[in-house]
Amino acid sequence: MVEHFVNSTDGSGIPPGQSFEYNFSVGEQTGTYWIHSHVKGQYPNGLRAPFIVQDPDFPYHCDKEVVLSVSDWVFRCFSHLMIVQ
Amino acid sequence: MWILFFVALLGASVDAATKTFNWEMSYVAASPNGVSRPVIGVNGQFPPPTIYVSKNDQVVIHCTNSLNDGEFITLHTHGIFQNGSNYYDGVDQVTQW
Repeated sequence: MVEHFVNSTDGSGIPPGQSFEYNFSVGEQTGTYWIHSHVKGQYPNGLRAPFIVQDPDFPYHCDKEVVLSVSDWVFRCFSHLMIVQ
Repeated sequence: MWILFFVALLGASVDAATKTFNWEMSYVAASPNGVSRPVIGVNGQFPPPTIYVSKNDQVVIHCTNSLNDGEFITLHTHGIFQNGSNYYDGVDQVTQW
């Protein structure tokens, strides 16, 4: 099944003003991943976040856990740096 | 033997839960390095919140696109296998249209 909103020439993904529900299992995976927009320059513009799948049987002990997210940063919207066709 | 069998069953049981997130995306102003600029916030917050889930969890992310620049949005969970759920992978023009 493919989620289809509009004709692909209008764009793809969740249209402005609309909602969509992602619903999936992470299964047996554990670890540190990330979630981000896949449209144009939206993730350098801020739509990115760590996605952490915790392991209840984590074998190591630690006193503290810190999440460090590293990104490019520019002074204005990233689209100014992209070549738009 | 019966005790071993029940203990093995307990060990194999999975504490899977459904974790639901409601994300509404819109532009907000932020100045993480001292220079204010528009960024995409989640529920008015930048940076977006870190998502914590556990092994075998069912993850539900209810997204609303409230961007005011007319752009579409997808959310791609980078590194997640999406076995049997490829249509929720969120790569525009590849797994989501």
